[in-house]
Amino acid sequence: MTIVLTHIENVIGGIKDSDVGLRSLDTTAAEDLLRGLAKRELWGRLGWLDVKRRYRRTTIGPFWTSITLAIYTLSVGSVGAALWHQDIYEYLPFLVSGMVVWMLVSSIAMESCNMFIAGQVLFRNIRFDYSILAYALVWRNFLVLLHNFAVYFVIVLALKPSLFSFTLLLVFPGLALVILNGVWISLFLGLVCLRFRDVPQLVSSAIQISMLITPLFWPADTLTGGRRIVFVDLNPLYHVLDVVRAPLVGRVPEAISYGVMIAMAIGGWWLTYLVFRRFRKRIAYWS
Amino acid sequence: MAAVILENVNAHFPIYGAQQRSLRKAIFGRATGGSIEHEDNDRITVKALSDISLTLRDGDRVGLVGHNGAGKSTLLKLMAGIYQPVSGTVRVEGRVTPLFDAMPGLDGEDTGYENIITSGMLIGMTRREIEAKIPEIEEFCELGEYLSLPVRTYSSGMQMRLGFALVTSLDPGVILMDEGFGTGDLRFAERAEARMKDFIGRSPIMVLASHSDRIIKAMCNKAVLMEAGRIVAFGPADEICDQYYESVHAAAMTERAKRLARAESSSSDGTDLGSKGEIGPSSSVSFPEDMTRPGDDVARLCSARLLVDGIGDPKIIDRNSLITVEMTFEVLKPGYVLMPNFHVFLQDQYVFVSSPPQNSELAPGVYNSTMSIPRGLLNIGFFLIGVALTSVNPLNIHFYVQHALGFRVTESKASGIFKEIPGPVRPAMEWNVTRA
Repeated sequence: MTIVLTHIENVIGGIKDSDVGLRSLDTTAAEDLLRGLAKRELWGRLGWLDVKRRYRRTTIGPFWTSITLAIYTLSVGSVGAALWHQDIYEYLPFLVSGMVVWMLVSSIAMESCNMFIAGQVLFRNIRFDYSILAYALVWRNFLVLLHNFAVYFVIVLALKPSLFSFTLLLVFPGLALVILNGVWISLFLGLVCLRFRDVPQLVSSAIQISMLITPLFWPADTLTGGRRIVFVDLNPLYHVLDVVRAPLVGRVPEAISYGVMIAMAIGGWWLTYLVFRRFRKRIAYWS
Repeated sequence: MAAVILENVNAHFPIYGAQQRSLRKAIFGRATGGSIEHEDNDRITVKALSDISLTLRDGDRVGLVGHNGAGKSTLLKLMAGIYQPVSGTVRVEGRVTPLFDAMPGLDGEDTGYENIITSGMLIGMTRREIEAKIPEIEEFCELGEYLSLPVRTYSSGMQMRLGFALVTSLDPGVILMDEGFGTGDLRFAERAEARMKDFIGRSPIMVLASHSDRIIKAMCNKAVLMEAGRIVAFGPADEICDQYYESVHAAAMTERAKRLARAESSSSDGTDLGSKGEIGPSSSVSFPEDMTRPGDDVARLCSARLLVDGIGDPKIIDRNSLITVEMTFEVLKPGYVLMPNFHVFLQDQYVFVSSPPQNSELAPGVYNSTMSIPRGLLNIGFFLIGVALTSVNPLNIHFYVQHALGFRVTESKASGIFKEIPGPVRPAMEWNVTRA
């Protein structure tokens, strides 16, 4: 086929082009992070479609995770209450609150390992702000979290409605901190796992182990002395749980937990920014 | 205004094996001092692009030609901002419209409409802009009710129609295309072809990577010849495509010459091999006496060359000059009726074979024979000449050196009315236009 050249002058006028002037195609890490964040419509859609897709052709859709969570909580909860000599009315709300947060954190960590590997199809064919993938991932998990909260509400309503108090509002700053940390974790892990393909295995076993050594099934107070310092106070995951779980069970989170979360956010973002700035260029080459 | 400016761009791909990419290697490699070097030596880096500088301006329709792995696709992706150069800069004025994937982010579970919106947003449109385009896309792709069904229910043709309709509904910026996009193929219906032409016509700059010089010649006005990650030549599409063709041949020739040399060095008398010797095309070729000359015990080729209006060593020849091909051969045995002959090719196409009208028995000695190609006979293009010597009664080929000579025929632009006239030859014919 032959292409007939039309008069270029006429064409240019017709194009509404916001990018006028010669500019470099290089994107800096900061540009990527900010421009990515600004494309709320896009990452919102990518995250939402992921949730929607997962449950296409099912009847109750995303509530399947909620139902799984409910069954899990009820069965493990009855055993756990006996095991740790807990009052079931106290223990079930405690367990479900912890599980809701844990599922958010662990799925962010696990899915982020595969984030850039799975995202290749996108960024190898179009110019892309990589951070969008991280925002979409966290957003998607946040949406799943909202579904899981339904289980929390049902269980608490049934067992201990007194938990619905003003303390519950402290969930919001807690979640905000978790999400703020979640984004850097997914960017960081995503990058490392793209380059070193055995890190995903490492992450998944670390998560399995930390599920048991973190006060998730058992109350932190059951440990005392040195063990408490190691598994509770020095365990960052405890603080991650605490800032969201404490308000869910009617307690104000410890100040130290907020401190740890803020420190983690600052340190983590600083580290991630450095790594991202250094290796952002290489992402397309590594994939 | 639009422009694409590349300055000293380099791109290297690290190749990580399963071992290489593991964390253990990185950790222990660092920990055990000496192995870092080892590690570095082990690392294979592919230099996909080296030192590329290129400036494209409004109205450029640029073809990227080159072999597989010459760096065409990588260059396109650099222009698209998908890869960032290891060093050097890529600057662009105006928008870039890469067409490597018509529907980025396509998911079979989503409906056609959903995918249009996702892809559109990934390409860089806002939701409102895409929604404004939907009627146009609906009309062009003719998928009707299917647009509300998941894309996995579509046939591949339907999927292609959807992608094509979406892409061509955009306002094109600098179009970047790989030949895989199918624009060059004739599998599109006429309507699609017209739409594609219009789409490309509206873009300020188009860059197309292709193996096919035919597609490049048809769609581009300029071309870039790439080889092993470097730009070898940049210029008018026709010339570059010819040069590409030439380089394809040159590579094949070198390969054959190498094989020939190997074969000759391994056999004690290379006479039988020499008779079908082949070497790279140029405007002259000679075989010194100390070298095994192509030929057999009857006759051998000493040299061959081109003469243009009596002057030797031309590589580019105007089609209106007199081209003379000369071969010098040595006859070793008496009693053979020898017929020198030249085989003229335009790329792969046989143009003609010529030999003297009369042949006689030649006594041992050195002979010169020339053939003159009339002025204005050859059309423009890159021609190759095979040089052969045959004896008649009985028929025997003493040597046949394929592609011994090569030259490009051009034409001063002033005399050409049409952009390009097809065919290997363009002789002046006798014409009469009279009123009946």
